[in-house]
Amino acid sequence: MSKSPNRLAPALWLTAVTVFAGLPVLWMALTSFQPMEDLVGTGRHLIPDHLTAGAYHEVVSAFPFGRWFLNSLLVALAVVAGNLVFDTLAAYGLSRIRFRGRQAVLTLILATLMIPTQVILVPLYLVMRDLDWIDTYWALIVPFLASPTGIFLLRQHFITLPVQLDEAAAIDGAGRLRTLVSILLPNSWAALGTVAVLKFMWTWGEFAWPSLVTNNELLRTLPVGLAQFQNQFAPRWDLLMAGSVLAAIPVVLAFVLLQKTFVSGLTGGAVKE
Amino acid sequence: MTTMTELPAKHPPGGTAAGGGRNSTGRTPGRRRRPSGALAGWLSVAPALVVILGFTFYPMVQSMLLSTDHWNLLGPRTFVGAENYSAILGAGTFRTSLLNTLVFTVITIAGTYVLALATAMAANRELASARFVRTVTVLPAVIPMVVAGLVWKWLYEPDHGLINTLIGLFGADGARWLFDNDLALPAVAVVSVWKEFGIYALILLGGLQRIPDEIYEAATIDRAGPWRQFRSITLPMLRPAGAAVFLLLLFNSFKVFDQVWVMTEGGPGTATLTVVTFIYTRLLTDVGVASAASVVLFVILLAITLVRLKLTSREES
Repeated sequence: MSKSPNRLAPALWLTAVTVFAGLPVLWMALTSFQPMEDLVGTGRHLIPDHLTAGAYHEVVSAFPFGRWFLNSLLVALAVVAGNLVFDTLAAYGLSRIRFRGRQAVLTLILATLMIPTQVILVPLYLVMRDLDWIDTYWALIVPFLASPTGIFLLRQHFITLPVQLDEAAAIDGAGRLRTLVSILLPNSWAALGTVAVLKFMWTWGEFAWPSLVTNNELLRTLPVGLAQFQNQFAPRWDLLMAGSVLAAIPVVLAFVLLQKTFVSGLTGGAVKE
Repeated sequence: MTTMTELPAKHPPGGTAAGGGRNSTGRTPGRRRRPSGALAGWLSVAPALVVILGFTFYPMVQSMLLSTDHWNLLGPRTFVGAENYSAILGAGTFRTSLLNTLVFTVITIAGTYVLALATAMAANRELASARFVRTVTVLPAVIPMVVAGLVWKWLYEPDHGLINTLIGLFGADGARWLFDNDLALPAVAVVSVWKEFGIYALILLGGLQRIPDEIYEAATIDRAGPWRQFRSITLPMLRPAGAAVFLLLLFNSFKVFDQVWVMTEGGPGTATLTVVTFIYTRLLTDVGVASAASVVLFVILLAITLVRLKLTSREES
């Protein structure tokens, strides 16, 4: 199969960007399986001489990595669950029920779309302090139980479902909640999946906020633990990369399994609005 | 934004009346102006509204109030008016952080846009390998930013990092990257480019696939060369997706923090000090100044969002 230069150039470019995107991930994994003396030795080889899982042993036994992992998982799952319930309810009300003040609620929620956590770090910290939530799971979970993005995505989806579905259910005597659960939700798996996957990924990777509101080592999430651990053990790249692999695995795994949902969520959330 | 017009227009005129006649429990979507509709409506939005009002909206308002005070969290809180603003806008560090963020933004947008567009155009031609390429190029986007920062910090490591090792293979001397005053900021921006370009390539690919082939065929018949076709067809017809990508990149770049904190903590000196890094370092010691800086950042993000909304509403009409 001979390719004209017209097809060769795109293929070469795609190869180049695939290497650019993939090599750092590969390097992280390779480093995590190499002994430290091989990484910094003179005359080191790019292809490792021998592989070992020693760094994983050390990182899991010397630090509460298991605990940090469970913290991350608990926080991310709680946030996902909260968003699935609260965002769905709100999206339902804002697309299916007509009530006085609906427009105002909708405008307010759309307005908060543009307030990222980064600009409210100070006052949100003070709210947590007043609630006595510093160094508790509440601070990591409760502020994020509902989100404008989730409400927005789900509402956009509900709008595309024909109202006749609801009407048919109403004629059969189904109440609002029943209609939502048995009529709308079964037709919304893709949208719900997108919200779940995006929320999980974002919460899992969150850094600035959890490191601000947790001082207790046992309450750290994985990214926070990892970042603080690098300050104590800066030159131990084998350990840092092993920890990095552990922190990346759940999201990478979810990505590989649910690639379609991830991609539609990441691109869809960006172009719609 | 209108609400009722977004409901499907195919609403049959007879359907509502028939349903409304039979059903008197207030569930019929056709007749919703009843007390139970208001109650159900407010109940449905209440939980989300409480969370959003309490933990986003109220803090935002507080941010503005705090920005006119002088407070270190322990001592007394005193009103100082616009003093915090004049302090940060007048003196070096915050202005440096604004400038750094701007440079970071320009590098990130230019790098991501060029890479994403070239990748989208290549993938549009070469669909055979698209699936594998898509998986690998989008993969960095799902990896936590802290992890990405650490991995790149290791790649940049001057003595044993992969980048300098590779440069060494060609007999050249590597750079000191994150320890170099001039290179640190671009080096940190590369992490963002690496992490995001795959997603933006997919968005742009979607835009490219919406350009009809016939236009290119007609242009070829008119003997327009590839460069001419790119300039006169691809770029203009890609504008909606292109503008969305640009504004999203702009919005996200101004919030940069995680990888900066993990890789350099704003250093060397103030070489990579961004706006959020500035806020973070003063958060618990100088609440007023940190809040004023937050408000400035908010105004910038607000302006970007307003442009974004204007563009999307123009496209819809």
